[in-house]
Amino acid sequence: MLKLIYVLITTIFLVLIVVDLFQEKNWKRQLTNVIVLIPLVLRVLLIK
Amino acid sequence: MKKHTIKASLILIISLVICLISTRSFLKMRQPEPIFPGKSLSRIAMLSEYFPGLKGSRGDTEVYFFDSETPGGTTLILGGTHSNEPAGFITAVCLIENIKIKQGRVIIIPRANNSAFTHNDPQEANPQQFVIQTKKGERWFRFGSRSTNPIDQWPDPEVYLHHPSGQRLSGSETRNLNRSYPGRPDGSLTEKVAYAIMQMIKQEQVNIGIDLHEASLEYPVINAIVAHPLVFELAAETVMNLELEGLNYNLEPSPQRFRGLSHREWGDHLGIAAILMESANTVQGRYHGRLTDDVVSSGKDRFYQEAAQHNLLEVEYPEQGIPLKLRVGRHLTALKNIFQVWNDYYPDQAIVIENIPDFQDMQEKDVGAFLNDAGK
Repeated sequence: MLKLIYVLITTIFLVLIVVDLFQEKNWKRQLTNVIVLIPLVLRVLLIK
Repeated sequence: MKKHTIKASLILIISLVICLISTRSFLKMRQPEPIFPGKSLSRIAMLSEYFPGLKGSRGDTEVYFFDSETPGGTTLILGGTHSNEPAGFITAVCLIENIKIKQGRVIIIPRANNSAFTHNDPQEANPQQFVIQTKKGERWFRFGSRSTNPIDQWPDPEVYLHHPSGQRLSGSETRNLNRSYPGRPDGSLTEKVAYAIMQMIKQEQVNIGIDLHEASLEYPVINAIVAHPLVFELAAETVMNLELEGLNYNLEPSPQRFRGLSHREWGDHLGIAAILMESANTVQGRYHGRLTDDVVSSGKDRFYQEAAQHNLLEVEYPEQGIPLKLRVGRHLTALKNIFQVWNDYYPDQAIVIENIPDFQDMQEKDVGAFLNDAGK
């Protein structure tokens, strides 16, 4: 159950970041999104 | 398509590629290296046979049994309690791949803290593996961490309270197997591993347990044999014999008030002869420069040479470094001597092991000459 909640929260964050990435027009701010995005994707890929 | 959408798509693709590459490399750490046991192996068990609570976890690990079927004593040899101390692990592998048992039983756990082999210390830029040249090619071995993987045991407490003594240590020591004995069945993963090892010692009626380690060059307990009071005389005689062979060892008594260590708790709780051995590991301390897999094997580092010139080290540091063949050779020779003395002291519990690689041979031919080339 906890794992499911964890996956759900991580996925919501991921979707929000990707949506924001596509709405953002300044490339420097788009890179900031990536800084948040990469650890989250890594965590999702490594969930046991 | 708008310009910023194209940029976003590109950034997203690049991020995913970075993630996939790093994930692949990270997950590789969970793949164990193959070990090719010699012909006198009797069976391979899993540690969870002695404590089912470990089954399915990364704390479960292989236990190699060598039984002569001639009555005698039983010894347990641990390698890989700390997987960033390669001489302990490689010595255990060398034994598994070479020894022949004439009397008694030998039990070897090469990866005592299996979880610690699946990651290495963050921010240290340590190699994930190192290579040893063998007769027909090369074999790779994992270079892990001192502690259990935080993916398997998290979070660390601020202060680690050792069970059952209540001793207080730094929070990260909660993942150190050699601070976790005697362990408990409902504790952390590291405590469960310690508990399973204690159960195994009890059920298999082990007489003498030896835990193989390495120490950083600036640590005073180095090139040492640490012995429980029950076995101190035997250790003293072993050290004298080793001196006669030209190998200097420090003899250290197991501290009575420092709890959780194998050489203390095995003796106190189970009454067995408990010994720990340390060799000199260049990659473990704080003075080293860039760490590559070559440094793991060669033990050669120019910053340590500089430190040696300023008398900052606890051991002599020769120009050629302190290579793995020297450290493994020392461990093997010390083991040979321990069993010789043990057999004199306790002839009814004798443990006669043949084919332990010779020290001089190992210095001439290197470690790889004593590793099997199975599968090649």
